[in-house]
Amino acid sequence: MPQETQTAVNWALHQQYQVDPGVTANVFDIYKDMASALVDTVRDYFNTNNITYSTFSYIDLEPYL
Amino acid sequence: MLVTLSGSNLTDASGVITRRIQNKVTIANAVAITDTANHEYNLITQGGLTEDQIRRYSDFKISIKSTCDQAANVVVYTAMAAHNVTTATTSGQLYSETSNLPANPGGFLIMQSGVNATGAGTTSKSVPALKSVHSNLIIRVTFPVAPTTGSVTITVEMNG
Repeated sequence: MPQETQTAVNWALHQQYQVDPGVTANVFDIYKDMASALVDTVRDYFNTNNITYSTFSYIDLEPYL
Repeated sequence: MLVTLSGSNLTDASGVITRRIQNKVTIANAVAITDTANHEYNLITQGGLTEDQIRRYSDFKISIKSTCDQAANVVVYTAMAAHNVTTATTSGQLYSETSNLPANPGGFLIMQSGVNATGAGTTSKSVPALKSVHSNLIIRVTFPVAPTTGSVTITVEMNG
């Protein structure tokens, strides 16, 4: 995992996640056990900050939780 | 395990009620795929089940959720018990379709043994071969165009 992973995870846990795009009601705070939301948001952090990464999953983020 | 077609319990010859067994395992937990390679997941390696445990079930439902920004091809294989139960082989291919896992939104795919009725969702696939005894099921996910966002989750429900 990139060296920025801890920063990405910490940031993601303070974000909100929209389950269904376009449906305002389906926006939730992200918690540690929300695997898909957490992975997607960490990935967004990597993309936004031009961080190179390879395929990863929730289990790869568990050491940072 | 003996059950009626309605799912109610039967008794054995001594009158003891037999019990159905059911299970659910996640074999891919929010995988952020970044390439066009084949990604395979199965009930033994990722699901943590043994061949014997899997063979106790006779009906399987596979659910896949993708929040990725690209569509994917999903192929389902049954294990070749005479070969290697964690290897996908052409002769073990049960179901295959191009772009059957849509991009987000709507990135859902269900594969189950029942026959879909009129009005069933287009991403609910009937795979009669899932109602059988298997030593393992292998699901292959391939993105023809590498996704840049999102992840894939695969869950298998089993009924015995």
